[in-house]
Amino acid sequence: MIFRFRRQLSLWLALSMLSIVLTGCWDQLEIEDRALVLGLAIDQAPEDSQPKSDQVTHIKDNLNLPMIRVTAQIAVPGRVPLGPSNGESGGSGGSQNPVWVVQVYGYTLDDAMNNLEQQISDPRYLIHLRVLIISEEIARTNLGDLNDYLRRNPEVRRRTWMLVSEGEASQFMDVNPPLQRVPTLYILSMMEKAVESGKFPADYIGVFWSSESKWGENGFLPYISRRNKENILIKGLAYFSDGKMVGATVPIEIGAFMAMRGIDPGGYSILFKSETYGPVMIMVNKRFSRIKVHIVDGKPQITYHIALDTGLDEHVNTNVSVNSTQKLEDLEGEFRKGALKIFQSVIDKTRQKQSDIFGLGEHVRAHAPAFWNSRIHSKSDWEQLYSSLTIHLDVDVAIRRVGLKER
Amino acid sequence: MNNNRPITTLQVTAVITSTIIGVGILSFPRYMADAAGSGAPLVTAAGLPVAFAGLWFTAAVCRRFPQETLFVFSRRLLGRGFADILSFCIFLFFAFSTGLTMRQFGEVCVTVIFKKTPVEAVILMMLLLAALSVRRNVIKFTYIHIFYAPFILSSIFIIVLVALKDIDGLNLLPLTGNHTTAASFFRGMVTSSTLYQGTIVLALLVPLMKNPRKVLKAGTAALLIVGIVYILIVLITVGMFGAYETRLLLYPTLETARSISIGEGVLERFDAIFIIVWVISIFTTIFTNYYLAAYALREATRFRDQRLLASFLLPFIFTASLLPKNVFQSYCLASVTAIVGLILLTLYPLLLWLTAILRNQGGASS
Repeated sequence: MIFRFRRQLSLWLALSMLSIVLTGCWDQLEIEDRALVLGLAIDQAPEDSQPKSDQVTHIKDNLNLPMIRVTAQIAVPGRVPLGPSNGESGGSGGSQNPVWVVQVYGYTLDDAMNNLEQQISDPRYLIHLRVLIISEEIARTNLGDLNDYLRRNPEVRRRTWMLVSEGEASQFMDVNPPLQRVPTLYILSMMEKAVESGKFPADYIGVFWSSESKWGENGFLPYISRRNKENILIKGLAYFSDGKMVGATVPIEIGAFMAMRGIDPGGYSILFKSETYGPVMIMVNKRFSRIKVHIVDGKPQITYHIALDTGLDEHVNTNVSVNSTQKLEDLEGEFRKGALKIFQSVIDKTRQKQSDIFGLGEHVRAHAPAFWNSRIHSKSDWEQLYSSLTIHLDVDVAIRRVGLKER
Repeated sequence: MNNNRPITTLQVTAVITSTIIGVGILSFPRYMADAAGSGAPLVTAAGLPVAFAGLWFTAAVCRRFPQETLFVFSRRLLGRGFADILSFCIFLFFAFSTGLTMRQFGEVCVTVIFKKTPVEAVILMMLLLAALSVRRNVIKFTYIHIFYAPFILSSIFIIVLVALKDIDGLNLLPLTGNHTTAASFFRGMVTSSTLYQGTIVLALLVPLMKNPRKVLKAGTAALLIVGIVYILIVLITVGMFGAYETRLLLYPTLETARSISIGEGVLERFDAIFIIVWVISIFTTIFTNYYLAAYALREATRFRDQRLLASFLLPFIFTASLLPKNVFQSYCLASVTAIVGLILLTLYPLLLWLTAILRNQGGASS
């Protein structure tokens, strides 16, 4: 009897212990109950329309921080199209906006996110944050403060894009492009395709952070501008020095930068006027670059060897035809001169602002450690040295093809 | 087929490998980058000889007494009282180290994955699992390790392979690092050698090995495998981020797993796979530590087996895991414990080995 009772008891005990297995996840939260932030735009709050602080994270305003305005694009559960859309007439979801744009103010990014939390019902999640747009004003002043929060937050991926906008950043949160239903996803695919087609280097936020951390390199971010109602133009590279944006290039200089870095595939074409052949467009297909560091008289000298594999894309003035190796070589020579000018212009710009976006300091650090150890003791040491660095350019151009037209 | 000695040399290698790879794997590239910048892989490799010394002493002395565990023959070599005190020290070290490992495990889980789950719950579940497993005998202990070892190794190698394409060779030059001083290099070397802890587990395995003479071979192979794994991890992490960025990251290896992707974003977020592997590798590590703690205590107190002791130890280990106040304290305590362990587990086998030679016991006859 007692034996049976004990058996019964141990059976029930075992079963009740098994119930622990059924509880599931402690942190469980249905996806419909999350406010998934897809994109963020961060601006300096305009002086005149600054609202009073929401006092969500503090009581008195003795923080002495500039106020920022954060525009968040939140995915509305069930409305973000996952597959190909089934036509406007198909589902009822077609006319509804798949995202909700919310604007909040705060002293820091985290303060603003807390204010956002206070205003929306669902807990915010940054796990699907793909695009961050910051205004040029912010980039030129306190980008480091934003990055602190983004680095600490484990939800933010290092493969998020951070872009610097000309003018207000919030305007990019309500573009309504016909190619994609969700605006931030459009910006995302725009950047990813630019990388694929050689229009822009793969400059994710993690890459930016890494190069900003290195002593011998400065970071850069894509610089974008809104053209018509829906168009977004990749306007250049916003380059940084001492953690702050100090300038921006023009689009063709992105091509020059990528050529100097040797990033394939080549995506830019160069239009120039040849003396004998008239205006010619040359398309760069492949880029190759090698960097050598020499220490001459106690100063580093950089020698670039850049090789461009190109093709003739357009030749407007057809009185003189390009139909022999000799003529192509003439063009190559002229193209080389033109390309050198563009390279030189990027170098001069960045040198003037002490922003080594080419990472030449890293080459010096790696290949001339003795010089580096004795002369460079902080990031600013290299930034100063970069502004007077001697850089030799040696450009090789080969025009391989001329398209389908013979002469 | 000798059924009393079923453990093969390869199995010993697997046990030591999966024991060593553990909680440190997430954060150690930071220490290495701190010590020598771009010379981090070199510092990692420099720890190997120091770790090898501990292994060699243990293997050399255990080989002399192929019928007994270290805890038994030490009594004969050093006298009961002294040997028991040192066995007790080993118990203390492994019990405390189990607790701190659990705490670090809990910290990572709570920071990165389960933000609302209390850290105690995470720790307790894992500890319960280990406590139940510790009730088994050494042969089953070995088999559990052998089962998990391939999972740990293969997935680490897959992650390394995927990450290889993102390495910038410039980040790894110069090989000795910039601004490296002898002091910082030495400190890094010691830290690195504490990462290879756990080779003493072979003291448990030798009496059951088919061929006890090959124990040194098995241990060396294990150290080399772990060394390669560590160096590869440092290579991809520092190669990807650069030394300066690696220093800023709390868990550089995890960041690496988070950053890599196959086919430009087709397959992203390898951190999920990595965390799973890492949880397994933590389990195997604390399994060994817990087992050694229970076993050492059993030998010091002359119990017949460690089953009851294992359950009895659970609340104490759990308490030890809750001692540190914050994340910095837990790392500080862990590194102090690791260095104490390095000294204890290198010098004690050395002492035993020297005594064995002086008193001319074991080895020679067999």
